[in-house]
Amino acid sequence: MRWKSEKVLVIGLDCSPPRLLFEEFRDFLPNMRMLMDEGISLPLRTCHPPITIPAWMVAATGRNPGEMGIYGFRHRKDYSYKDFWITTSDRIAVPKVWDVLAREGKRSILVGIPPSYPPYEVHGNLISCFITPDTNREFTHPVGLKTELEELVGEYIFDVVFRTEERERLLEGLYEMSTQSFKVIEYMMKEKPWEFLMFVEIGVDRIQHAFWKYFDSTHPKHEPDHKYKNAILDYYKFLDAHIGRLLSLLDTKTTVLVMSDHGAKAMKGAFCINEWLIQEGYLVLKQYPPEIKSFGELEVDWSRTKAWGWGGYHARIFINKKGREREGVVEEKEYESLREELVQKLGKIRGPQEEVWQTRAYQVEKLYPELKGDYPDIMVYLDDLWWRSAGTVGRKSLYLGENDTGPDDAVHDWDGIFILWDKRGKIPGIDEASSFMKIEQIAPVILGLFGLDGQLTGKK
Amino acid sequence: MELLVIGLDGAPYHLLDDMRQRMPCLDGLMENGSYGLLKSTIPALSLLAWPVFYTGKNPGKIGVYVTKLMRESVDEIRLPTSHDVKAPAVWEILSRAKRKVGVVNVPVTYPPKPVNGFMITGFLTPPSSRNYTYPEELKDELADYVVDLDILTEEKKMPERDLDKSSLLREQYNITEKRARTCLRMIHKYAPDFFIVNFKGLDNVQHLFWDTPQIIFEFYQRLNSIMKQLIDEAKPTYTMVMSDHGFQPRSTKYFHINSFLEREGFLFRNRSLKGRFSIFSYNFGVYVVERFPFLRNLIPERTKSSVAIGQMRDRIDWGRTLAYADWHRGIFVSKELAGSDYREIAAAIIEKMKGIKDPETGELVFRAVKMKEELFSGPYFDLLPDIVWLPSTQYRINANLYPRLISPRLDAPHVSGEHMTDPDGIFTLTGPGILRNKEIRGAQIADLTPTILYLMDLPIPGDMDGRVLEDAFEPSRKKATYEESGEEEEKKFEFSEEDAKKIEERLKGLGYL
Repeated sequence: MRWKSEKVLVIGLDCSPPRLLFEEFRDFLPNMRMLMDEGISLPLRTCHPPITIPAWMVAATGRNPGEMGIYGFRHRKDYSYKDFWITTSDRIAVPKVWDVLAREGKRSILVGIPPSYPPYEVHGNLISCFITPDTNREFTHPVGLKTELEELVGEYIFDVVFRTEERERLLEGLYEMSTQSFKVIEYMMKEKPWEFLMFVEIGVDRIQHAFWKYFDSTHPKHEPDHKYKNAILDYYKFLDAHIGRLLSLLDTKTTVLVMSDHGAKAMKGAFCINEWLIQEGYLVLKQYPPEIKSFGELEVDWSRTKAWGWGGYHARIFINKKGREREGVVEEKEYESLREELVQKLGKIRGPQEEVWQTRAYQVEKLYPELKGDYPDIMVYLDDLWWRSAGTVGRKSLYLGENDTGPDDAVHDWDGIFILWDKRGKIPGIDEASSFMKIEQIAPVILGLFGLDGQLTGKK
Repeated sequence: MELLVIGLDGAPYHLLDDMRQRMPCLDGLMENGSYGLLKSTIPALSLLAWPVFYTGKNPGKIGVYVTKLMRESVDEIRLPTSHDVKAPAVWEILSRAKRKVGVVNVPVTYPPKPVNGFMITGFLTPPSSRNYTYPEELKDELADYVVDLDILTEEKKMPERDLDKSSLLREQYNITEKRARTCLRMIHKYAPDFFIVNFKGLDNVQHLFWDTPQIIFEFYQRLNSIMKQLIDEAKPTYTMVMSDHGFQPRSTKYFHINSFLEREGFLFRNRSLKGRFSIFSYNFGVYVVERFPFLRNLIPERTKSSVAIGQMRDRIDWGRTLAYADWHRGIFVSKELAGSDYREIAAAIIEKMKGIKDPETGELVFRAVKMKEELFSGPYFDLLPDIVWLPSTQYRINANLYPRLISPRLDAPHVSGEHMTDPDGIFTLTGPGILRNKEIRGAQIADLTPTILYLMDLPIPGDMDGRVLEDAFEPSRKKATYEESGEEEEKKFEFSEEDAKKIEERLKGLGYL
């Protein structure tokens, strides 16, 4: 007999790595431990790049970023040097799992799934995510839900101000935000009809980025026995208690899926990708800045520049191609050999102590079977993501002990988490012996739970 | 109010003169405005015609053709919901343009979608549903409002036995009265710029009493006074009256379309035991009912309709069949089997269908047969039938495999009128700048949405199939503006500069940039 769930609850813990939930924190979290003991838990291998956007949408659509034409939060606009567009909900042109469920008459409640601003129409209810500029905007579907939420919790909180040294305030803000979001989820769960409910708790990502170094003794900046030693664990305990409360509200035929969009690990430092391109002669400035400047503020001599890069948890490199970029110089016939040369050189970059790095650089088309939209020419994971990329120029140095945009303790990692649990027993069809699940499998797994073979085809 | 639209569900063009004589309000609108025949869809069914009306697009762009269009196999029939209509309704376009709208009892609007104003859903609202208004709380004010007579909501469910027609008629008056009162209250309360109400009861009354003109015309007269009240309360600048199809006497004969395809060598029956049994059980049922009419009342309605509609899946040999038909939609030609000959095969079938005559009367069975390319375009094109038909009044198209091509019709004996064979509805348009007492020719049901947008001074999306009814306007009125085709879909949301800064700062803070 085929498995059939009447309802599915997806708990999204942005950035949660297997190491914490599956190992170190496991025994402190009775509710999530129960889910893992009774259900199936596997690392969840994320997409290229391992970034919140597009990863949540890969999970929701079963498509890879190339097919969606979504490669991150930002994309260049028409091969411009400086203009870019931010990934908003309307850029996702393929159907999501909740669109397929809607065709079957199933109603969804969707809270904070990036990107969901501007709020879009769903069969059910939607609250947008942390890219919502502020609460003066419409951020719900239907529109009237906003007023309802404001009556419930006052001003809705989408995110915390995170790059701050005032960690006490940050902690306060985090708890305030997450307490509110669980209140909202519980309210939605009880008051609105649903067959599919999915929410993403962004607080997990924020606390890990801000407090990782205090608990992880392998972190280069680890401070032992700091008062924040247990900050992340305490937050997970708080999550666990709230998740326990949600579980107690479920009908028996509800399946629970806990997942994250990517993992996290200690940040070793930031590598100034544009400084390196300058050193290597690919990027030429009219004048080296006297102080630290972001790439957008630099005076670039485009007539002599072959390549430049963007910062982030991974690096993106763009080629200044003739006929494509406004002041492009790299000839068509030179393009492939230049990219190959860059990929080789990037792969050989060593750390500040001459240590060997495991950098992975790719010509973008090698990562995706299909390429749509505004993609970079090369994607780079510096030392397999242990080092992040900094786009700023002006330090005359390649290595930064910390992030160029403020303190940050963690970087992204390839494996997130996947837990699938149902009160009625083990769900068939998931290969538990496998060493990981792929994030593209999430949407088909959800359809399968509902007994649907429905393909994620057609228009959105 | 800028525009009031009144739907007279199923008001036929061929009765327009009779209606006019008995409906002074309608007569006044015609005298002071333009009017004419409004060509509906093929087939002329409410659940297709209304979505085409309110989107201004053909079924290939809206994903609904009688049923929801799906890739699934034969026999999978889903009645459409508002979510299945994949194009914006005119009131959604108006809502986006910050116009206040009110929508009452329009078919295929359930479940209600948010609008800038209010909505009470119509035909195909599940009888037990409590969620038929936007905003949701609105229903608390509606008290005894009824969307539809329960027994009439599902087409095939009409009970033949114990059908108390006169109490149904009383109920219909009752419901219509409540609907009118609700509309008057809502118009007063919300003061919408655009308001539409459809009187579906007219369609129901015509189905049951087509053979009793007196009853029909009394109902028209009642609607006339409601129209007058609505106009007096709303004081609209423009008034539009429209119907979604016409009406004809009930057809009396079946034409077995798949038997025809079988005879012509396009279709092969399934000779397996299961297939034979399925075909036999239908034919046996028909045999019994034809000979012993009193037995029909012993068979439950549900069984009857499911046997009648039939499980085509079991009855056809899919490995060899080039073309098959389903009940209300049309003929599907197998692209796998036909390959590049697909067009010629479709053309050959059409040629044959056009020549089919009833041996008894010499009458042509089909008034029109069309290839899909003539009628449809858009993303759902592939899912639409390859050939569609408009039968002559006498014939009901039946998809079962039956020994004779034409046989007496057995289902729905209590119905005396129907509209599958009559797509000719009506429209009137009255207001400043509209020609007076002028009959307009060639209007299509998809033309009304662009015309509404034009009247309300909005540009018309270029991908709409309908066109503004320009013949109805004084030449001095400004021309309609059509947007570049597809512009609406292409336009992407972009943050304002200020918002983009905010987001950029935040993303930077999060380490993404």
